[in-house]
Amino acid sequence: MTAATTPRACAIFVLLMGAGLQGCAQQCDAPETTGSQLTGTVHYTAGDGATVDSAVDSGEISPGTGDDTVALSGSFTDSLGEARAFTINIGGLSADTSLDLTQDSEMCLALETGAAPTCTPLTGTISVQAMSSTCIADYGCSLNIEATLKAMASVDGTSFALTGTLDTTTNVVPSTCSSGG
Amino acid sequence: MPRTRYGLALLCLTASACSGPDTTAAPEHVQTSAFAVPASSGSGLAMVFEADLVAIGNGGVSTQVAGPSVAVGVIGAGAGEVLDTFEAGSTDVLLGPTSAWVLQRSTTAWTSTLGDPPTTPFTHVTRVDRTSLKETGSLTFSEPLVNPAVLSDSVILDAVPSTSSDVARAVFLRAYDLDGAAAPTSLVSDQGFAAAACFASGGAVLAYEPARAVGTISVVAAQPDSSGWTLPRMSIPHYRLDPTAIGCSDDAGRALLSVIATADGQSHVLLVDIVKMAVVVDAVGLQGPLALRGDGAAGLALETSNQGLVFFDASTQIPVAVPGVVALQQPWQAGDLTLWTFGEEEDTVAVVHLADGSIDPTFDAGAAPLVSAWPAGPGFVVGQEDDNGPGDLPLTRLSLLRSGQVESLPLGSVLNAPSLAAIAGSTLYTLTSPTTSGAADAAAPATASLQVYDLDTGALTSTLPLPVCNTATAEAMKGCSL
Repeated sequence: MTAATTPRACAIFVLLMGAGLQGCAQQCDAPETTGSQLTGTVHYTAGDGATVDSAVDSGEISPGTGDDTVALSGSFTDSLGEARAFTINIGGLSADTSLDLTQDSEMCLALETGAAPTCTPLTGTISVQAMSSTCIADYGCSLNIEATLKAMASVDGTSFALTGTLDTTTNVVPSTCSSGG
Repeated sequence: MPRTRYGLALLCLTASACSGPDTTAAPEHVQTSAFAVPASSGSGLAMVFEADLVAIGNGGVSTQVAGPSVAVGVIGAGAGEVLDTFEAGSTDVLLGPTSAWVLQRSTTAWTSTLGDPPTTPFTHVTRVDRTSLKETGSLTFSEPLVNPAVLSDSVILDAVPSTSSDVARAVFLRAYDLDGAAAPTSLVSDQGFAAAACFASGGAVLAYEPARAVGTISVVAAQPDSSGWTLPRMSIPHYRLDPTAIGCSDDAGRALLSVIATADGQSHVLLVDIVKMAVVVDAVGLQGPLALRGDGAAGLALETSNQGLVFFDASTQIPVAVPGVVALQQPWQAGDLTLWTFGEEEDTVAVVHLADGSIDPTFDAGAAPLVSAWPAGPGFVVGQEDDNGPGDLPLTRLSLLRSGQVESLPLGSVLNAPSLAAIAGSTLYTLTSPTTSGAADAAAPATASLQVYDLDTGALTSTLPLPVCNTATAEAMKGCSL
């Protein structure tokens, strides 16, 4: 993973701009995230045979627990009109690679109203076009990724298939360094 | 039979704030949870008190039951006396015709976001006679109860929760007889997906999608008779079940189901006669929420296309002249009266008659009103809280809806954190507590107030102070003493 790291961007920014800006001790930069996050379509079949094709709603991308992992979350609408939240964790990622999801991934979905999510391994592939991170002092690090995903899972007679796109980039937006930052 | 539940949220008597979790850790304090057990006739009342040690922190509200719960006489014979002592465990109370069932979980410590009771099953029950207010039996369940309902003074039912399931799970309906065998009678035991149960004075209905017949709904009625149980069953092919709405007739022989056609995904409401194994009404384009008249001959349901309300029976469907879109929540029911919530803000209520689909004048009840059905009226009591006020929510209006009229009930002097604790006959018991919003209150003796109303006359007949569990006794894990 490459890192467009700017851990002390504020200080660097002040050095570059000279002494014209006063009082910029920290927290002068702010993150700005662009991209459509996680989008796509879920094809879901419940154990009773009810099938839906639903657009991913509220899809989000966040860094996973390791440098090469990504955590996805979103929801789809089931055949009864209920929003069904799911999460996906994928590890072993790097830029410009196509990864077999069977190696290190899982999908979690509550299979019964009010129940805890059931997690199951994924099959399919993720093709990563770009991947990096942006770190900003006092904000932490954000994941930048462009990828396409085709992920399938099945458990206890249900089947889940997500065809989606991952697109998120966080940029550093230099703020005017005023007193107190 | 309408189910009456009394939970932790109903009354929070404490020496410090208990209006919700704070992000700041607070020291442990003693909280009293109270559950009303009104006498079925006359004016007697006992309260079941549970002492809890509560700590509010970043992880939520941590609660530990501080020993056995007790029933204390409040009104009538035995007032001021400890009438019964129960197990130590999170408590709930269900009211039967002449008995109250004090249900307890084995759970004695849990953490929740808002201080809610745990969701673990009930493992023990103590029956309390609603005349003497004394214990008349107890039972430890061989299979804990997840969704209990009282059928009679000896029988309590338990059914699989009314939920969806994408995977096959255990679907069950069973009965415990407190005066019979310790083991439950299994009425339905199967594997299935979505399931919904409803309970009535004459039994229960369980509808579910059996795993062995996907695309079919099985409907079973459980009706007690002199020799045990009658269990008529019917299958309805080509539909899937929406488990969020179901209605039973009083004899549990008929049910109203919200279903989805497997062929085209269209919503239907089915009125089925389980005994005759017949679909009486197949109303296309309707869905839950819904309500079924006690005789099982007519109902109300939501119109899918416009979120209006439709009255129907075997021969007709009539739109109800509703004051806005119907809120997607099951109505309250008192006899053949139903109380529905309307409008984008879900702050308007109106009584709709199951006799003919007529609607009474609308009533601005505010957001999330407190509602209690009054079957003997019939009618409804509606309480409104001021959610903009400081500290605990003060009660701003208490109204009685009956005979097409809205009557204001007088308010007591203590108005905070109200709950409509119980209605027995024509007597309404409400509970309120003093404000607990400030630090000064923490040092003040915590008392709560019980208000007694005569719903026939609309009068506030008495106001009584309620005690709280003794702090030292609770901290010594010796339960609730007063």
